[in-house]
Amino acid sequence: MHALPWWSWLLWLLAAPPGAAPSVPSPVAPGPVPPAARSLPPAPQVTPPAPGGLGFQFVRIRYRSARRTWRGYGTWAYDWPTAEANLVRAIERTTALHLDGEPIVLDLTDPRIFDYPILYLCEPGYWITDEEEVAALRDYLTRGGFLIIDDFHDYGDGQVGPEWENFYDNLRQVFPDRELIELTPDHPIWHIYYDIDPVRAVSTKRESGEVPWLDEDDDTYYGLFDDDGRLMVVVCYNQDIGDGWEWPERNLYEASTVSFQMAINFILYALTH
Amino acid sequence: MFEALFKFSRLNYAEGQIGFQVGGGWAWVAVLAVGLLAGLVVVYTLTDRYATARQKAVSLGLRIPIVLLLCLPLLQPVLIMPDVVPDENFVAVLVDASESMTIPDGPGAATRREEALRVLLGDGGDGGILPALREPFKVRLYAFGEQARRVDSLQTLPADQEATHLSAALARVLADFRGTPLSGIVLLTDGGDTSPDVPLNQAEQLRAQNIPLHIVGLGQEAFEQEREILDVTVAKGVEETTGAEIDVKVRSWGTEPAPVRFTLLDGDEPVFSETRRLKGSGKIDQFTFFYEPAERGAQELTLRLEEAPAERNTANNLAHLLVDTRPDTIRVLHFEGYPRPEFKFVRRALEDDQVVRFVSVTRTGTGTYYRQGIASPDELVGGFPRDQAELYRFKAVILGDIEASAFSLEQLRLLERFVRERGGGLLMLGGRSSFAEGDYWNTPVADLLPVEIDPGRRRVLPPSFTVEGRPPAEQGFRFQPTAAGLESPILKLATDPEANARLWSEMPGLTSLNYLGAPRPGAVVLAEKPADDFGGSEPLLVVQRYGRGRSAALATASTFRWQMHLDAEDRRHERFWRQLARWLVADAPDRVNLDLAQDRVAPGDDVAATVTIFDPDYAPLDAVELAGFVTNPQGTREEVTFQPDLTRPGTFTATFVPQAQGMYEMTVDADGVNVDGVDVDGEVGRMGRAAQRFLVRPSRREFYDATLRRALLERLATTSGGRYYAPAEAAAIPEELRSRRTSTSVYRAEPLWDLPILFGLLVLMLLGEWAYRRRRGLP
Repeated sequence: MHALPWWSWLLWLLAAPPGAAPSVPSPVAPGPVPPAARSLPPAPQVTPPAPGGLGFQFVRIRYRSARRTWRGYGTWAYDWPTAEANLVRAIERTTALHLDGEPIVLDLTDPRIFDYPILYLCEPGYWITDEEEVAALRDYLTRGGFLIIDDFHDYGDGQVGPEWENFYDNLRQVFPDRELIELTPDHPIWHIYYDIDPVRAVSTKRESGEVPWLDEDDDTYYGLFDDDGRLMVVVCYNQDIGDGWEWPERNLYEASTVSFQMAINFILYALTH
Repeated sequence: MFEALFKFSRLNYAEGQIGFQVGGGWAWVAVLAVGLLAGLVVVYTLTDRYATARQKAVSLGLRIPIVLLLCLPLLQPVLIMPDVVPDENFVAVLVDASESMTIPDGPGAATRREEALRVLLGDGGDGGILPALREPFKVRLYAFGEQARRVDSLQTLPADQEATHLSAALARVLADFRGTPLSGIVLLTDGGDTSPDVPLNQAEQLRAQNIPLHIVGLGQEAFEQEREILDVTVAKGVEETTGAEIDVKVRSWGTEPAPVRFTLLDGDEPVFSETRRLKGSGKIDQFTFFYEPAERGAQELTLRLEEAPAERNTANNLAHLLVDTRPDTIRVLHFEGYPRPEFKFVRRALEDDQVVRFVSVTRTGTGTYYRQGIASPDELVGGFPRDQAELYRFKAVILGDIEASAFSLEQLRLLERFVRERGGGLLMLGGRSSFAEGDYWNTPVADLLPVEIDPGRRRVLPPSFTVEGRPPAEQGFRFQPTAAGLESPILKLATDPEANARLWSEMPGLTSLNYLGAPRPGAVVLAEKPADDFGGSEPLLVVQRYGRGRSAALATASTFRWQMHLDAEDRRHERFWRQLARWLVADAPDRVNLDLAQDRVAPGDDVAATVTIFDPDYAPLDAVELAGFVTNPQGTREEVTFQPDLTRPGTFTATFVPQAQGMYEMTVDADGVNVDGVDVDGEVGRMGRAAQRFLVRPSRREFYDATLRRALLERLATTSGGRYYAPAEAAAIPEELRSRRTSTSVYRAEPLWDLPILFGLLVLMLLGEWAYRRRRGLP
């Protein structure tokens, strides 16, 4: 392969659309790192997975994003790594779940995702997909995988905004014919381990004051179901349960406690349905 | 030649007796002989014309027998031999009229029936044995199949009987001729006896009564080109979504260079077709086909075995069979100690199965259980059942990742009884807390598992079977079915064994393993982890029968990779789990069970039905009221009365004899009232109902295994005192019947003094004596 001329990165900067993210180096087969990414901190080291299927392992999905603000990583890394580190300790303390290993980060195109029946993806408002990722996610979900989507916000009061639009566009690429259905308080996912009232639950963003316009009713939870009525994707909109895992000490209005409870319910539901 | 020299046949001499009719005159003959001999000796003593004493002695020695031979006729030798009084004695001629007599395997493609007629009537009216028999005997003709019946003419002899009962036919003849002089029986048959009786007993009886049985064997002992279906059985308990196991036994008599096609027909519509290679040369092959019925309910099918080129007997290439999908429900209880991926996918595989009622209890936290599939809010509220009746409602129990200490000792005993007494199935899955890792050794559950629990192989940390950098689909170790595994209904992913082995070899690897102890005696290892980078081979899936039930050990918890690493449309993971669940429950009875000895019978055959009834603890229950009925093909009901089987508690039997062809259904309703008059279920009403279908079609059994049974026929004939004949030798039968001693024989004496052999002997001896003297120059 010929090396690119030294000035090629200038062309790339000019050609790149504003806000477009550089592709994330894959931990399995690292592609050519775009020159623009050189100024950023390196991607987190992915823990080698030891899939045994004997327990649960937290997997965060890394994707290309339109913003890169979190410690220089893409938006996929928000709350990483503290959030999941706290979550898995909470799971260990409070449930019968065995942990199969420390939390890891994988790309959607990494075939290793098929060894983990639950994936976590945050900030879908800035999530940029491509065909390969869409196909992989579709395969993953139709084979029985489960995806938790978290941490995106718009205006509240029932009005969707750009973050929802971006997320929804991506989801429509994966399943053009499937519609999201709100997970009402009577859905078993709210009662499998903890009894949670999603209506009374407060967005962790409200407690942190980052999005003060969101009130108690604005956090909404959706599900995407397969042909047999089985839940494939749970979506936390106008909510950021990952934040609640990251900042358990804040816990205003018990938002952090509920975010741990929600995560545990989601995981237990995913492993039993 | 013999007859020319001795006047009579060998048979006459064998059966007859040589005697002398001289009576009191023998003394005169003796005096004469002695006188002649004495005279001879005196003459020889006195003469001196012989040169040596030796010459004299030889000459004397040659003349003495001549003198004796000349005296022999004076004794009036006779042959006393058996004979028949013309037109006083009977001979019964029995001709096989079963369907197998239509098989055209005689010379010039003649049917066995035509061959029989040729033996009896001859070609163009002469040479047959029947006219020869009619000379001295009165002949009675019988045609026989299941029963023998008198016929007047052979021209209308049918060949339409669906069975051959040699015993019954011979018994009928004996009964007809009781008190009547029967000189013998001539039997023309291929010997294909389809009755359960032993015809040899009848042959013994014939011998005792001195009635010889002469048998003409028809047909070929082996076919040159012939394929036949010997037996077809459909495994009981066929359910939707998995296959019906159809066991086929076939035989081919020719050489079989190429695979042969088997086709299942629904009416005229082929619904299944596969090829198999036959051994040929008269060897029997056994195959199992897996047919997946597209619809629920009973289906009558015809199995067709491809005809061999120039095959003569093609009626046995077809067989009727009944595939009746199981209407009942398999209740499976899955007890999972820790939420984990494997459970989710096992549940999905089994829950989607319409036949399975999947109930699960998952321990989600300390003392908290998550129940799924329950029928009422109280069901299994305390986790694993403590009550026998609560557990016995299930037919199979799957133990997920759960340690022995999660159960009380009584619960562990209950599990053992569940398999041994109730006939349930138990499957233990691999996991962090299964087998040795779950401290199961020295527990009642360890007793029933198909493998030893070896504490020495216990691993504190789960072993890893992944290699850094390897593609995920190639991670782990292979699930490799053993030879027994590829034949097992649990591991059938395809009907064709080669395709099945290929499908398994393409499965993604497994990534978790519990190191099991040695398989128990009698257990079968269906799959193993082959020797690879991670170590030697290890048992993976082991099964056994235990008590009345079954147990299985699956030493992994990563079969979910078969679902996640293959396309969503791929059904191998689901199929494996459904077949495993079905295998587990195959011996688990319901409270009310109806069992038919056969699901295919011929019109007029018995359908033997057995009903077994259990109480909620699965102890046999006698105090029940049974109402049985059969719905015939016309839709009308006929009542069937069940009688208690006094030797087996809780068992009732009945027999039904269908007459018309078609599909029948037998149903039995049980009302459970115990000895105190209290309903055993605690509720008034029916305790349960069981139903089974059966198919009534002509058996065509006459065409199966339809070679000439020469060995049997020879034994029958010789036992009775008769003989066995090929059609070409049959002409000897009339003489045999006439000359053999039988119960009806009369005896006549024929003089033997004029035997040509005696005259010839005399001439020879005289010539010999003369020649001797001439050579020696004697007088």
